[in-house]
Amino acid sequence: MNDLIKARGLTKSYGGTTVLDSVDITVPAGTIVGFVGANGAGKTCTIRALLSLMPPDSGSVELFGEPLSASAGDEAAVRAKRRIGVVLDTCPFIGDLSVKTAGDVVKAAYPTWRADLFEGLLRRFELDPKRKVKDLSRGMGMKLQLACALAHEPELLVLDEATAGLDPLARDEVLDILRDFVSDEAHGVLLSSHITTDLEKIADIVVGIDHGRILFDLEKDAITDGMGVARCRAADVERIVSGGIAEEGTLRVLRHERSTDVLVPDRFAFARRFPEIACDACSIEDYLQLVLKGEPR
Amino acid sequence: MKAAFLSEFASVRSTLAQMALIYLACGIFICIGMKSVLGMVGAISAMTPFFLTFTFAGYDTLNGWERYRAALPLSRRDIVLGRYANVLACSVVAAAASVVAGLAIAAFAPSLPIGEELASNLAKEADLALLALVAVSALAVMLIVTSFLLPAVFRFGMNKAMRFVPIGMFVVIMLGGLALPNIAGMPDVLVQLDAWLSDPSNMPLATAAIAGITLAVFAASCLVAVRLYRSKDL
Repeated sequence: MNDLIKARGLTKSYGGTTVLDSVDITVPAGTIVGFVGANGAGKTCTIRALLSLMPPDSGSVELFGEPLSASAGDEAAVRAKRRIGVVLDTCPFIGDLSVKTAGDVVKAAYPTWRADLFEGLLRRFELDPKRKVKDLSRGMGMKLQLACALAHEPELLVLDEATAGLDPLARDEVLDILRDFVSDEAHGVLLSSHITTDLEKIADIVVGIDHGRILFDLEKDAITDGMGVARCRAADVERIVSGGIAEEGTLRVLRHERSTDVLVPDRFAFARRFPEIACDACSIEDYLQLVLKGEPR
Repeated sequence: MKAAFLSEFASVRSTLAQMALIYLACGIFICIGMKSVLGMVGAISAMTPFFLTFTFAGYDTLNGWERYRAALPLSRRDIVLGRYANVLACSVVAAAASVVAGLAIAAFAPSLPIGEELASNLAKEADLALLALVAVSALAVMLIVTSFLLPAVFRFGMNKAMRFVPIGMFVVIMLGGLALPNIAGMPDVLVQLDAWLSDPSNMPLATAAIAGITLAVFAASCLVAVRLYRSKDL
């Protein structure tokens, strides 16, 4: 499988603050990679480094197999970006422009821009070409960005918090578009979001980041289908830890005021071993919480 | 560079139509108020570089447009070149249009119902060389100011550039003003230059020289801006 994005060891500091710390991330063709983390965790910084908006202090980025670096020059980045569609968290177009003119501004940058495809996307998204950008709702602005991102037939979509602030219907519509896009095996999506339910719906791989460091990089099904969260009493924790259901140090224990959650790697094995303890399927949010805040046991 | 130029131009296309209307109103007001087409030509030629620089710089600060544009397949170098080319091209077109309008107003003034005094004042300025010199001089002054402003706008953004560039320019002009009279022979050179410029036959050469010097400063500013913008984190 080809990797559309392959970044290794991305590190970036401002003064004494490290915003990216040896970040590795890969987006294989045919997959949607969900990039999850709290606000300020490093998602946007990573995307900026991937798109050459912020040169990292160290590390390497390959887009479509071609390395990007200062020595490779601007041309390599320009060539790669022609194959990428970008959607940012806010509609970036100038408010006074019409929807059609916003398309013209972007069109000039892409040699492969298809005016008919852009017009078709505007019709599909029910966007009036004459309407001013400043009069668009957040959802409409996001759809305009998507239309611009798709009209040059990219192979890779990079979306930074694209679904944040959208109502559930608009979010589902965006997710449907992404599913359609990635039905072509040569395509891929990197979707950063702190809305983990969106990633549960469409992601193939989930990458978690916190304080600029990658916490995990797993297939989504490994989290949501296999793992579980045992809801138990504090007194049960030692029994679970010593129960032989996981290797030492791989369980995560998060104590709440009246209960304790334990992240278990195989909820079916856990249910067989401890049938009296409730064990829920693990959501991405549960996993993130437990990895971030849980005590390793 | 062409892609960056066209993209940037598309973003101000509708603004240029508004600008033309503003120029029309200003032109009429200046021609009647100053009883001269020279003032109109100078004002329009001077306004365009600033108008575009502020428009573009304002857009950069809106809604993350600057970051989004850098995510498009445009190199930093092309983005800078595209902006400089837009400012220069639109300014030259506006200045040329103002000269043509000035000539037209001067030519048709006697047949317009605007009073004999105004008509004769406007008509006597039907001089292409003089109008061109005024247009180029006014454009040159503002393009040189813009040459200081644009690299700072690219590197630090509009707000910081507007805070520090005027101070920097004031210091440079003051130091230049203090230093020039102390340079040996400079006063004589300035007197000779004034006499040379007063000869109408030297006007085309003076116009070309001003244009050449301005373009050289503008090009140097562009190179500085490319270097500064390349290393900017967006």
